[in-house]
Amino acid sequence: MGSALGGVLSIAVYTWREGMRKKTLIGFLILSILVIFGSQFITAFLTTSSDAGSQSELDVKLIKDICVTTISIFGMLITIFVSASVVPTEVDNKVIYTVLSKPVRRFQYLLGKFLGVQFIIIINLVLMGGLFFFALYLKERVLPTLLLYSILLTYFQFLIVSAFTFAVSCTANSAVLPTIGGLFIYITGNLTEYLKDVYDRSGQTQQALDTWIGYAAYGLYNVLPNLQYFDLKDQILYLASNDAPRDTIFSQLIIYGLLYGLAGYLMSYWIFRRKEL
Amino acid sequence: MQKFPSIAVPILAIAALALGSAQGRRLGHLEECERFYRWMVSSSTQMRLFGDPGKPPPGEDPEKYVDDELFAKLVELTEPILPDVPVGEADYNKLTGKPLEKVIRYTAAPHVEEDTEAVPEEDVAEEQDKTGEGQKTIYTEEQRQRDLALWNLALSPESSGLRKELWTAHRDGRIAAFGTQLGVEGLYQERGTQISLANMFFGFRKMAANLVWLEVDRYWHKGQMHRMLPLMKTCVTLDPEFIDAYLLGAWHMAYNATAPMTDTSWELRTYDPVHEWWVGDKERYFFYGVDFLKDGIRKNPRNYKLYFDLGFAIYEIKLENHVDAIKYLSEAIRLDHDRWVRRTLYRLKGIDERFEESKEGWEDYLAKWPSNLVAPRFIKFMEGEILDRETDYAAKSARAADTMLARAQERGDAAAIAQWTTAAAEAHAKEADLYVKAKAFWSSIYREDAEEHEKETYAGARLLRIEAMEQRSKGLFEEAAVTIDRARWMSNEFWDLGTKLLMDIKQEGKLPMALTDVRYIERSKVEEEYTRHLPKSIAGRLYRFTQGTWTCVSIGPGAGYQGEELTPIEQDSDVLIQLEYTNPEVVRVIQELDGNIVLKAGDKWYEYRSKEPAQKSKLFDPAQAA
Repeated sequence: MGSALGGVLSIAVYTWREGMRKKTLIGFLILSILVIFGSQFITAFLTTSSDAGSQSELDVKLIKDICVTTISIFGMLITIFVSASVVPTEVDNKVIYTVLSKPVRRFQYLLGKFLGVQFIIIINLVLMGGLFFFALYLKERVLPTLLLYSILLTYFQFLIVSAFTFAVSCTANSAVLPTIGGLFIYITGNLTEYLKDVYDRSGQTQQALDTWIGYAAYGLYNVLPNLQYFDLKDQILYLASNDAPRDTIFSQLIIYGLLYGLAGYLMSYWIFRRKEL
Repeated sequence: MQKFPSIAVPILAIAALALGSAQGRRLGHLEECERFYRWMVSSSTQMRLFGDPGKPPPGEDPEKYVDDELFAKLVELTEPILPDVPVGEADYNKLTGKPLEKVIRYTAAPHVEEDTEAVPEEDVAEEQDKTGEGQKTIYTEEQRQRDLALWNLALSPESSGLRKELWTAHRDGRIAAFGTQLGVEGLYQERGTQISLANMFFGFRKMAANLVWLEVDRYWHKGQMHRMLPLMKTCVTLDPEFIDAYLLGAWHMAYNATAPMTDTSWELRTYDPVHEWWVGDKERYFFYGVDFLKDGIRKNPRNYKLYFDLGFAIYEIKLENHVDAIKYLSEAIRLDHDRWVRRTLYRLKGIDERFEESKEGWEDYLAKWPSNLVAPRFIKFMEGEILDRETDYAAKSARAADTMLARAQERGDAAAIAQWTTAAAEAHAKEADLYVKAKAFWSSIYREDAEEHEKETYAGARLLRIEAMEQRSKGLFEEAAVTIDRARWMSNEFWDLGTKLLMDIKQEGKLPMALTDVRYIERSKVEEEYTRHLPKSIAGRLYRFTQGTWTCVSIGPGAGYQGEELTPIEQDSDVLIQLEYTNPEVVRVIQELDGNIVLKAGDKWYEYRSKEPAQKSKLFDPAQAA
């Protein structure tokens, strides 16, 4: 058991090292860090009333918005690119054969890869979030602890996308298809709410097809992950005083992320163990 | 697993998906509950402040919206469920006079100081530098508990039917109370804004709002105000939680847009029944600001800054409407707020002649922050104002006793003569005594022997006012005019009141007028013609004019006339003069208002019946009314 876990960890660490060397990821990371750093100066030319407090709050709002958007965009891109490429790249350059010829089971290999991907996502999030944390602290001089909760939720959102992209990547021999699949998963995950709307409005024409489309939409709505639930990560950051007491929602969201992450990983394992290598 | 690997993994994957799906349903339920909770808070606040649970967007058919219907159901649902809360003095409907529904009262806990422990001296200086420091100490535990109870109600099966109804109506675009409380999707049904679906994609609409705001700022630097207005609306539509956009937008409208404009002459103004004011090109912008901030309040009902800016920056500073200013500042201090909000509120209460309330507020404030330098000063001022008011009332009481005595003498009623002789003597003695006390009080604050810069000039002006009033009562009008003129030059804060008094004295004494005095009086007459029948606040009581009768609709924060039994009193009758003797505050009401008046004196309600109908004004024509 110990050696099995050790093997998984070795693969995870190797994947992480490999991933962090990728120029695309470093490019995304540098860009995001530049934007987060630049958010400090964007408000310099804005007009505000003479109230200094108001000026400062507008600055903070703009910094938060820019940083949240940056982390979401670049974090998601990094997540999709990493998740989509780790397995197909190894298949493509045949490294996978060397690894699997050793006493490593496919389960261990895949778990190691998956954990490695999560390390990369977490490290990137920590770097971007850390800079965001620092930028906010510089502005407010108060430790923005709520940001940590927001970053945590962001991670679980990325975990879902990452797990399903990883599953798609196990079917492919190149990273192109899984990357497109990952983007599609992200977009679909954000539009799940519309499937409910389709269901609610179905049946109005009294035609069978219309009704069946409604049922199909409802089925998909229930099965597909809804990434918009994670909008709470933005709300936590702004903490409007008319928000509901939502401690329960926070923990439920983490469970939601873990369950879909697990489902995504199991699907990837199911696909991978049948893959001919 | 080892035995059936090909089945176990997909079964596990499907099980995880099914569990995820079940968890998703739970989250969906929580999200629905959260929306319901926000709607409860927002619509209740809107009912309390504006009298409706949600205002349909301009240009939309109001029949389409079901806010009223759903709110009635909410009231029905919550009445037996929510715990009883006492009806506070401000918890009544300003139009019907009835107590507000339980859910409306429940969503806003009264402002009570929880922790009366004084802030330590060493912390004060540091605390003064921090914006928002007042927030943590004043937001009440009671409010937190009530919010939790509302949240539990939102989660409960009892509210399930109404939750579904709300969600269906929201989905069909039949809820006007959209905003942060219901998610942003509903916002995009509003007309007049150019928002594409791309803007709301993936939660990046806040960033889109920021970009629009940068554009607003660019137009501001170019002086293109006309381009800013629609963009500001777009900005807050994209991000209804963008509080600074509301604040700065309203500031642009009420201050910057109007800065180069001159006041519109009364003749060119039109009456705006919604805002109950006469507006021209310039004044309309003030109300654009008002409406913009009210829109912000509808969408962010618990942000004190919106209330403060609406109350102070626009209603008080721009419109000089103390009543609405106090209304919104009182609302602001129920929420998380900074300390200066309370200070401003207490000052405005003093200006609106709610001296006792103001004094009480300042005393609470001082108990919490003992090192504050402003509070003791205003406590003294309020004590002085109360003393001055008592002195004025004593004078009025004495005049009434004199009148009753003269009438008794005319009738030759010996018993009445004896009674009123004593009463008049006592009243005059009281008046003289209070004059002495008031003088001594203001003198002690003024400190005549102090250095010039250390003198309290407002107290000096009040002292001179007493002197002028004494001179006036003796018929020494020239001396009184000179004295009051000195007083108004002595203190900036006394200027407006001093000018009004000076004009009164000059007119009463038939003194020669300067050209500026004549113009002042003429301007006042024209203004009076337009504003005579607008709602008026007299000594902290608000009166509204309808169909030839003034009615007291609120007394301080409390309820006004609510259909109580009325005692009729005729103009110039003995009953009225006796009432003026016992309750001299009615003299001022009768002097300042015209026509019939429903007023309160002591614990009783009276209907004052004037011999003359209310005067003609731009809002009322007695001939047509007859």
